Amino acid sequence: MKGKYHIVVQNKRLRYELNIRRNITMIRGDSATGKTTLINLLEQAAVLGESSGVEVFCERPRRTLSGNDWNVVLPNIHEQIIFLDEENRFVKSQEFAAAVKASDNYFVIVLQLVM
Amino acid sequence: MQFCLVGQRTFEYCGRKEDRALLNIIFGDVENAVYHPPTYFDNQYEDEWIMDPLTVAMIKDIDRSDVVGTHLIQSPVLGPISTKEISGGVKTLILMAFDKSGRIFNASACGDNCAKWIVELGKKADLTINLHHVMDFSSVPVFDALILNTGVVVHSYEEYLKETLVIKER
Repeated sequence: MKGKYHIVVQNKRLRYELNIRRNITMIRGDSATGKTTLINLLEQAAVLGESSGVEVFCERPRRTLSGNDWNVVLPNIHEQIIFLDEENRFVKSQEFAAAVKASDNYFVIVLQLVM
Repeated sequence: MQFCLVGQRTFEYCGRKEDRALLNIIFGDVENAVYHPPTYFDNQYEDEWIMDPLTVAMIKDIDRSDVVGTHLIQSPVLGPISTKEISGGVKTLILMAFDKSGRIFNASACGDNCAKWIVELGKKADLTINLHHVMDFSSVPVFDALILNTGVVVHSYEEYLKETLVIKER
């Protein structure tokens, strides 16, 4: 996947705007700066769509990835922007790193530590 | 003598000569440490912790929010929120302050803006934290901490940084 993508995630109170231009993007920052909230909004939008009250604007499909079955799910996702929270332990694994390298998706990882 | 399992290695360290509280830091994977404290908090917090002046101060500082009651916090961004919606970093700090289970919490779940509070908590009572990164303690230039991986007590941020360079588990 190539190119630069602009993503807007918003509800009544919050609005996030990101420009994603690489296969791996890291979002880091202090506590209470809205990182987890971004992931939560995306998950709500993914599960409930419009009825979640969360609006997501992006020309590419986007989703979150979590849970122990990530290695079953990821091979079936192509050319999407995938958001992950570092609370998932697999994010630090060699297996995941190899999967990202071989993937045609863009990854946005929300983290709080230097990797 | 106390022992701590880090990865595949067991570290031993002696009790200190001085009888004062100390911040203890272990880098790397620690058996039975709580890797994601915010989830543990959601399932284990006590109502009485939330109204404690220390918690009120930490929530005000980190989340810029006001504790209205045990189950209600007023956030300038999110509006009125429940206790479970406070930040992961402040949840971790509250656990460090009040949880008496003896568990070691992963302080890498906290942003660097929590570092000064970790140092303060380490002054009030012995506190052992787990880190998976070199936390930025530069907001507290002078502090005491025992780096359990090496057994060295550091007394400043500069000494802390120098000591972390030799720790492969970081």
